Amino acid sequence: MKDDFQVLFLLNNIENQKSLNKLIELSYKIAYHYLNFNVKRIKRLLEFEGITLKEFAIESIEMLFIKNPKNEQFEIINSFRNWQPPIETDADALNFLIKITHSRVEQHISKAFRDIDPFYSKILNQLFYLMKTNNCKKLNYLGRQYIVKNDIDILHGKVINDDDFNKIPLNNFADRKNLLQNIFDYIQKETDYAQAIPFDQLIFKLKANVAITSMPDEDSISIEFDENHVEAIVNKALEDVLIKVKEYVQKDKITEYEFDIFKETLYEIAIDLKDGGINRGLHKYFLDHYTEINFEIYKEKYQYKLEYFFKLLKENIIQLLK
Amino acid sequence: MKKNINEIDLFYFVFFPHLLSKDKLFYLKNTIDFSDEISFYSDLKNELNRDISVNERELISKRIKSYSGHYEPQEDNFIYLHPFQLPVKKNNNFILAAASDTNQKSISTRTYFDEDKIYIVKIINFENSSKIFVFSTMYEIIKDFDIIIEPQDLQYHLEDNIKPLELNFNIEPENIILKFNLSNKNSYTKS
Repeated sequence: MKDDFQVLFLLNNIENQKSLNKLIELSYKIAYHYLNFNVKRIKRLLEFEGITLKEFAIESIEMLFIKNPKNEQFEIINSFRNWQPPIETDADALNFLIKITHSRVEQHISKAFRDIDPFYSKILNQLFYLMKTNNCKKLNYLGRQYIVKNDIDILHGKVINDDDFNKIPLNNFADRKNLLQNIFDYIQKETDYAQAIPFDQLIFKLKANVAITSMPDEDSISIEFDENHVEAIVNKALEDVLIKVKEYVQKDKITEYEFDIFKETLYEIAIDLKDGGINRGLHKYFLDHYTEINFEIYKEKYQYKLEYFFKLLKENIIQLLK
Repeated sequence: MKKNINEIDLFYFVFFPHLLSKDKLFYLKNTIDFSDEISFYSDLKNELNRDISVNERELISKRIKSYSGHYEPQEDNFIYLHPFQLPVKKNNNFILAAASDTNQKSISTRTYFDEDKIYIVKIINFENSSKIFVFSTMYEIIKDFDIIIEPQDLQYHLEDNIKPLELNFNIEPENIILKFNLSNKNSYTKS
């Protein structure tokens, strides 16, 4: 029956396999729709992981349908039972399913960005610290996460769209200690939008403008980031990895020629990390420099090595950022 | 009114309009202020009403154990066939035109088996067309079934497998699905 999704019935009858299957399918469709709607944001992730939108959607919701070992209940059912206010109607239940799925998808996106981009990870941590010290929290609106003041539980009116957010003059981002307050003030004075800052857009904005990416955190209040500083960090991280790669030559694990391929590949990856993150699968970087081989040979001989070197590169950057 | 509209109002407007107050309902029906947000929920509603494809079911069952553990393709009359041999990846090396053999490339074949090796599908690609042969190792004539070509999700109906399916283009499916119509009890006939 169209439009009658019976989510409350499905949640209350999860032991029935047909109910469970139907609930998984609905959750998948919500995730797929959401990702499709936000495809521009995640295009880079899909290219890196080499997976489709559908596969990413399924990965995103997987955790909801894994049983918690503590009570042998699906995570989605634990959330359903703890949801406040309690879910009593079909409308409540559908709204819950949409919200919990969107939330899972956002967590998955965030984790994926953290995995491929150490700068994203660093800015994320700094933002969390800023939110804590500025009495702010995250609130979801149509799935997306926004930074709001602690006393706001529901957003009224419209939230700022990406285009208008990107038009906010850069000087509002310069005073890092008062970053959030300055953006709130701008939205209030200059626009008609609700007091909410799009979380991901703020990260991308800060990343794109490396000169303003230094924000206070517990460890470093005064470190100034500028473009040269970022470049120096990436170069140092790369240098350390190449020492490791060279050891592979000394131990006859790779040839001098292969060392050069790894060096060129890692150099290009490092540039992309600095310029906004890697934009395709690792194998594509490698095969661009080693055109004599095909994917099968890459997989067999070089995949694990490159993944290891890439992991080292990210770890080095994170260490140097601390 | 614009400042009073929140997320749940927009959700109700699209999914449960009877739960919305009359003034908000009237406002949202007559404004373009929230057209993007309403479009978001309307698209979601359409998506929720969409029938999930065989390919999507298979993808979900591969990843989510609680779905795959009990999801039995046989219940829905689907047989999944996978390529017998992985496709040979193109070599990036240059091949001189003089060294190429165009005649040799004009015909290629691929074979697909199901897990139990009961069904075999053979695809022959000619220069601009293809033929798809379906065989049963049980010596059956297979009747009233569909061939689904994945991932393009192309679906063709065949009355039986006596003649091949002929297409006026080449295909290189990742997988093939045979879908039987079990409402017809004579789907299988011993030959």
